Amino acid sequence: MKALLRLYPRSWRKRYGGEMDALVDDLPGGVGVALDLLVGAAAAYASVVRDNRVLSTAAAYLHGVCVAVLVQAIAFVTLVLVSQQSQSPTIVQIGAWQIASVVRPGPFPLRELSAYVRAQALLESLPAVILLVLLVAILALALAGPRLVRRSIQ
Amino acid sequence: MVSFLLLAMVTVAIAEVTLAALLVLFSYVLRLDLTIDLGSARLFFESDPRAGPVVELYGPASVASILFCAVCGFSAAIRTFRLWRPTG
Repeated sequence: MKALLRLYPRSWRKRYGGEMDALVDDLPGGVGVALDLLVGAAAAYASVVRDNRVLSTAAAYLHGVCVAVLVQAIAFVTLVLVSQQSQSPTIVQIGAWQIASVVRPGPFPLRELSAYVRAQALLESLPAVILLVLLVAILALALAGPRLVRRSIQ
Repeated sequence: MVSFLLLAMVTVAIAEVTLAALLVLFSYVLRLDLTIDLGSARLFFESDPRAGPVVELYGPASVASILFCAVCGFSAAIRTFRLWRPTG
């Protein structure tokens, strides 16, 4: 269990290492305590990063890039979902620049299909909907993350 | 300063590779045929040759994606750098 204390930042270990050693000796070894130590190490690192202007800026840059990747993944799944609702090709265009296109194979327009086939088409779009919900949840977590970490430190 | 910029560019490159990997994974899950245009090169992923929709991402999409990642990263970094205050 004491090995987990090595995960804490060096400055933190210099200041609280002795007390923490004694505390871990008194605690019963278990999964709960190990998890607590891991969360504590993450919070300690967040505190170290927050106290340094350059590290904070670098962390914010990484966070911004991660959010951008998530937003683009959501845009991709949304494009697929929109295209699944129509039989005509979906084309995304900005001015003269063509960004993306989705062509769905199938000889009939959706309105001419039977109710059974329409239900099947809706069922087909279920994985995309699940993926979209999952991605939006991850994005919400990524956006709320820094605030939650700040609150846990204070 | 040059090192910071190089590091920022490498980060965006890693993010783009991750995004491409995510799109391939989504194409596998959603059974799509995915084509990504990268100027002279083309990446093609075929999950189901019989029934899957064909998604094509053209050159401007790659450029827009790189710019979007860089703008999001830099705007977050600049905002944090300007608003940063020492704690305690």
